[in-house]
Amino acid sequence: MQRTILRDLLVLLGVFGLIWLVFSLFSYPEDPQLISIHKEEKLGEVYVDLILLNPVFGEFDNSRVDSAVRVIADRLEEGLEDSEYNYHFVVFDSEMINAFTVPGGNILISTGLLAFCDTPEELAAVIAHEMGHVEERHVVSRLIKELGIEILTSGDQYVIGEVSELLTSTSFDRKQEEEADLFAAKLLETASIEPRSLATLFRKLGRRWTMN
Amino acid sequence: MDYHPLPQPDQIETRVKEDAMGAYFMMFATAAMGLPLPILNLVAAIIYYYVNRDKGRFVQFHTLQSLYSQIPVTLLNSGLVVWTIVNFARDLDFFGFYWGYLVMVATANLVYFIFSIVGAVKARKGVFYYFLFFGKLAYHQVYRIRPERDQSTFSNRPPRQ
Repeated sequence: MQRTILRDLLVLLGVFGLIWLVFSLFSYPEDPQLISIHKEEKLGEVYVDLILLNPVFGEFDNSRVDSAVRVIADRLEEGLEDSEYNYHFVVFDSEMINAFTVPGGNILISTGLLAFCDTPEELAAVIAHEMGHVEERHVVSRLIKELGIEILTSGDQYVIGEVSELLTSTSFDRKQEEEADLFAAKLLETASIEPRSLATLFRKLGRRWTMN
Repeated sequence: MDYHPLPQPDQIETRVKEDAMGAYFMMFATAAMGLPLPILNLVAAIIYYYVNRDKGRFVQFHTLQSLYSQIPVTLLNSGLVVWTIVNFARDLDFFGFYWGYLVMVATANLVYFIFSIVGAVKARKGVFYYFLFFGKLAYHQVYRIRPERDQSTFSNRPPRQ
C-alpha cells in the first residue's frame, strides 16, 4: 500500500509540475526575437512619423542642438560592441522632461530634458539609458506583451495609432529599468564618461518630482 | 499489512453518511470566506476533522481525505496570493513562471472542486471514493489495523524514594 501511495504522489507531482513547466515556457510569445531588427526598424519609421504628428511633440529644428546630441551619441555608439541598430535621434519641442525609445533604435528627446541637463555627461547618461532599452529590446518585448505579435505586425492603422500611444504613455517595468541602468553605467564607463552622471541626473529628477 | 473490513452502503446509517458528505461541502462554505487568506479554510477543515473523527471510520476516512486533499490546494493558493502581491509591489510582470503557476493552481482548484463534489455525492450514498494519492493515504491511516500494545510489558511501580 505504501508503495502505491508513493507512486500516486509522484504521479500527482509529475502532472502538476509538468503543467507549471509547460505553461511557463509556452505561455505567451513575448520573445523579442520573434521580430527581426529589420522589421523593427520598419515599424519604428512609421511610429516616429506618427508620434511627431501629435502636437504634444512639436517640431524642433535646430542644427546646433542636433549636432551636439549627435556628438554625444557618436561617442556612446563607439562604445557599443556589435550593435545591430542604426540609431536615430530626434529632438522634439516640449517643456516636458522626457526621453523615450521607439522601435528600431529611434530615441526621442525633449527640449525640456536638454534644458534640464546641466552637463553634457548628464545628457549622455540619459541617451545611454535609452540605448540600454533598445539593445535589450525592451520596447519590442513590451509591445508584444501588450498587444501580441500578430496584432503588432498586422500593419493596421488603428493598431499603429494604439502602438504610438503606448510608446509615449506607458513605462517599462522595474526590472527592465534596472537592466537599462546597468547597461548605461557600463556604456558610459566604456566611452570614458563619468558613470556617476547617471546617478546625479536621477537624483535631480527625484528632487524635481518630489517638489512637484 | 492488514486493514479493517469496509462497511457496505446498506450497513451505514444515514446520519453517518451525511456527516461524511459534510466534510466536502464544508470546504466550499469556508473557501469563499477564506479567499483573501486561503489558510482559513484549512483551519476549518482541521476543526471539522477533530470534531467528527469519533463518528466512525467511514466519516473519519472522508473527513481525512477531504483534509489531506485541501492541504496542497491551500498551500498553492497561498503561494499564488503571496506571489501576486510581490509582483504588484515590485512591479514585476505576470508572465513566464508566474503564468505557469497560475494555470497550475487554477487546474488544481478545478480538479479539487470536481473530486470534492463527486466525493460528497458518493459519501452521501455510503460509497467509498478514492482520490488519487489522498484516498489511499486516508484509507491507510483510518483502516490500517495497528498492532495493539502488549499491556503485560507495563507494570505499575511506586515512586522512587
